[in-house]
Amino acid sequence: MRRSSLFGFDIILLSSTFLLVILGIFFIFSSGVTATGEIYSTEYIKQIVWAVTGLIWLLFLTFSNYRNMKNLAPTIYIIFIILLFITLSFGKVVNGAKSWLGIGDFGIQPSEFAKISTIIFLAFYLQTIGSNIRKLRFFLIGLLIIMVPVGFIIIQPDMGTSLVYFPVFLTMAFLAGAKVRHIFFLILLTCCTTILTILPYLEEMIMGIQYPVFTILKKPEFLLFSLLGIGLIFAVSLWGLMIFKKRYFYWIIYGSSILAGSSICSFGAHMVLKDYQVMRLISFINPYIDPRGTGWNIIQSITAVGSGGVWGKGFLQGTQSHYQYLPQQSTDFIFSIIAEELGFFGGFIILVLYLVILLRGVQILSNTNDKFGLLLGSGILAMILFHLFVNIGMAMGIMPITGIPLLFLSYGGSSLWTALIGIGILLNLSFKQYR
Amino acid sequence: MQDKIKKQRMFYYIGFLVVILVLIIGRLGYIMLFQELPESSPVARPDVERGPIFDRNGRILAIHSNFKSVSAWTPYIEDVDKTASLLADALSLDKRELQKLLLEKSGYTYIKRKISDTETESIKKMQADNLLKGINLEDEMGRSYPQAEIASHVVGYVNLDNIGLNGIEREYEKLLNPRKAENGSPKAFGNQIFLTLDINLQYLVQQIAQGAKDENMADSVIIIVLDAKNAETLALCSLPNFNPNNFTAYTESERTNRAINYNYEPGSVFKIFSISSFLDLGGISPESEFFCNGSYTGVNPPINDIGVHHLVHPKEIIQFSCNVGAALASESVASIDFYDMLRKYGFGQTTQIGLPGERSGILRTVDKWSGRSKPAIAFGQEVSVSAMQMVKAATALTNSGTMLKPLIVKKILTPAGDLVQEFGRTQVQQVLGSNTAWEVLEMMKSATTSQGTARRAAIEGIDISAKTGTAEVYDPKIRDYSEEKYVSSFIGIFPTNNPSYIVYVVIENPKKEKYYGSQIAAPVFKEIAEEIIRLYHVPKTTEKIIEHSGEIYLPQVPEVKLENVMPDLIGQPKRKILSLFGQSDMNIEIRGQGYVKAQHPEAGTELTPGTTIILELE
Repeated sequence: MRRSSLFGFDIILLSSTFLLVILGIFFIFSSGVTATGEIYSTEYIKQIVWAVTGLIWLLFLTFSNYRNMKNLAPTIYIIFIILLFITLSFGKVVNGAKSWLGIGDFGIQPSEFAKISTIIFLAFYLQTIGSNIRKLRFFLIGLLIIMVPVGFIIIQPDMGTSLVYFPVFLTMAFLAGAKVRHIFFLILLTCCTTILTILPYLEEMIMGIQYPVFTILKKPEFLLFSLLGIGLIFAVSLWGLMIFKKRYFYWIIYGSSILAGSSICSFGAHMVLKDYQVMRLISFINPYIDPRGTGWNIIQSITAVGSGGVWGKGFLQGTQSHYQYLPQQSTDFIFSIIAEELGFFGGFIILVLYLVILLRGVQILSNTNDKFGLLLGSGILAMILFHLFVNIGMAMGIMPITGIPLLFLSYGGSSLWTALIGIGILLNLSFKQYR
Repeated sequence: MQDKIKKQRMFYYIGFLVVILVLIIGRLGYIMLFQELPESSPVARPDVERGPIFDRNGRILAIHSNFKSVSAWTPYIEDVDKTASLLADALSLDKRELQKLLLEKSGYTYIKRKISDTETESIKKMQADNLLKGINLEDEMGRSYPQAEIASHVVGYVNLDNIGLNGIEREYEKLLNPRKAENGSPKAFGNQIFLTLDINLQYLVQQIAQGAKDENMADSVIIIVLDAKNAETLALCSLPNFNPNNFTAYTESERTNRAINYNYEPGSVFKIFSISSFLDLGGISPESEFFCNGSYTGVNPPINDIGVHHLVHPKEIIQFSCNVGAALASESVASIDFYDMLRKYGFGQTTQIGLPGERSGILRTVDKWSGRSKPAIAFGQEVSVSAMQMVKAATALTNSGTMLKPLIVKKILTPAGDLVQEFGRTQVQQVLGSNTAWEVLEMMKSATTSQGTARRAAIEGIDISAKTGTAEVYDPKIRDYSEEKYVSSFIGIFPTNNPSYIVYVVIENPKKEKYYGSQIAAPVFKEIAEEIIRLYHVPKTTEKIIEHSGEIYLPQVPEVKLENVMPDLIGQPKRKILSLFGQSDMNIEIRGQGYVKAQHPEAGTELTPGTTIILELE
């Protein structure tokens, strides 16, 4: 352990991070070059500025005492909730979402930073309540902590960013010792909701015929009846549980609440979800349904990734990117450009760098004795992993288009700062171990 | 205890993390190293100039053309509102949708594709005034069909991305539209396809067909003209038709090539195939006698004739189109033998002519036949066919019993003019004995005599073998043959002793009082046959044949060649000078149609590679 630290820094973690950021700047530059060699975008210069300032944040967090955060946690959390609220009221609309706060060209996305503030507060909460997390009430309060920012972000609307909070919460709750059945309840509820949400659209768009079985899911009357039915089962089981104390009543209640919850949620989703969002989900299942519309991104991205081969076409040689076939190249689809120009080799290197960061992070966590530190770090790692999985998965067509950035690599000050702050916290944790 | 749980959960956490990363790497490896790219994906590829389609004489049926498309490069757009409103006016688009598009898309996007000339002009003007920053006009390859409706079903059409959707355009998509340019050149050229169609004849046939359709208020008219000796399709007309330049304005049904896609019961024309089968199987001979009392009663419902033909031979069965005679004749062979003959004729199978959307018709296997099936099929019921199948089967009669594969493409040339593939007479198989084929043609000749059903098709001085048909259409609603719907048809082969042309006419659901094939399809055939005779100089027996030494001298038109010196091309027809293309490295530009009126450079000028030759035609 000591060998890999320089002046107390975890040199492996730090250098992997730097490598990713530098690679990111190179390919943000590449994404701003047209087929004719014209440089049309100065995004890469801005990214350099963000990276340097982000480094200051990283150093600041490395050398400050993270334990102080514990005391500040509620304050930070509340500040960012207020910021999210202000964004909703006065924010700037970029790409269809009111997620920016700033003056002129300079702006930040509070929703990015809110991830960190929520992680800090959640870690604080989970540490404070200790083994009480096994009680449902405390588990639900934890959930409420993330639901506040999630709610604000959904209203913006920025579905992708709001989704990050769930794996973060589940990971932290899991490591804090929450009951596995509570965690699975959330996972199952999410799955059922997703299925119930897209089923009626799926048969309409893919098969072209309407089965009444599925269409009925969209009808409020049906919802009412099914909720009544499920509620009845629920009530009977609850009574049974009270009187007979039999275990299976508990599981019936468990199942029926998932069903009821997901029907309500999917009904709400039908109300809230815009057509283009549903089409994205459908296009993810079969991009060729609408190849020039919503399926375009997926097809182009897979084509870009697939055309890279083993060694890639070379820096600035990718056709998919320079002919501007890819939308949001420097943010959402930065990985596609890298894969096209550096090939499987390049993509593999990127993933290995991430693997190093994540494993190094886990190593730091297993050596820490402080529960607050452990939870804080695991939340950050979960955030990095989720961004990685969804963004790269999107580029390769195994995840629907959600438009969340690839941390460290994608263009964007707020997301880069957030990532570097996260690494700063991890470094701080390891720093403390050696002191 | 608490520590143990913590360790355990940490372990799961690490495991989960590693599994996810391995999954991602696995998927990445799969996409990048093993997956073949889908060919249809719009990968960056060179501009392809789609190859032209010609008729047999080199008349253009489909050719590439350049269009302008408007695209936007959003980072350069300064004022989205203004840009959107200017564009919306110029291109008659919805302003709000345009605004939304420009705001939502980042980078490159199309605004409107393949715009008109006036639209191009107005965009150019605004660009000149520097009003449209970030908006570009770009060249786009398109397709143009100068003959419009003529042979539209054969030629087919392409979509906005120049990809063939129907007809030859679709069948030969890969040859017409190669996805790769040679040596990485930015432009690729498609192969040239020459069809067997003669567009002159096709035009005349289409006119006649349209006339017949209007006159009889028919649902559809199908006419096929085949070169009887090599089965080249000279004309193929299916009405209603469409204009491929604007195919989206037409219904699916109008775009359907009914000659290969419409299946129907052929009625009495089918007798030529059943009688020839019975003769060939040895069940009957030309001398066999059958007695027609007007009804064949062994089956339910009975098979009836319009009149009573009394004693008939196979010849009269065809001449008078005697259903009872055909039914009686069918008793002479076993069902399975009859079935095998019809399969040999190609019924129940596609003709493989090489056009998309072909349907095979229905010839049920013997085990599904009822007692009435054999006699019914003998006069063309209980079997469904396509018009193309009928003419294909008829090639067996015109080629001494050997059936040919119908052809629609004559040859394929590379963009430079080298031969890729040529299609010639292709034998499918021997269906009949040579004798039988000739006997049946003779019998069919009797149909055009004054007592025959095909008498309205007779042409002075040409022996014509023919057969008429009027099929009732089965109505699934009443589960019986309809009393109002008919398919009237006519097949004609001429001249009988040297069969050169097969003409088949099908009129679907004529709504006037006349509906018999002999009444309405026969005159259509006659009109077409007269045009063929005129066009291809078919000798008539009434014309005096002048004895001749056997050798004639024609002033040979020298083939136009481009060498070092510019030849004199004044007065040359366009057909001739088209051969100049691909002969040398010269750029040749042809303006206009007809014969060369002026040329540049002058005759006698020395030519060097790269010289541009301009020919003006009139």
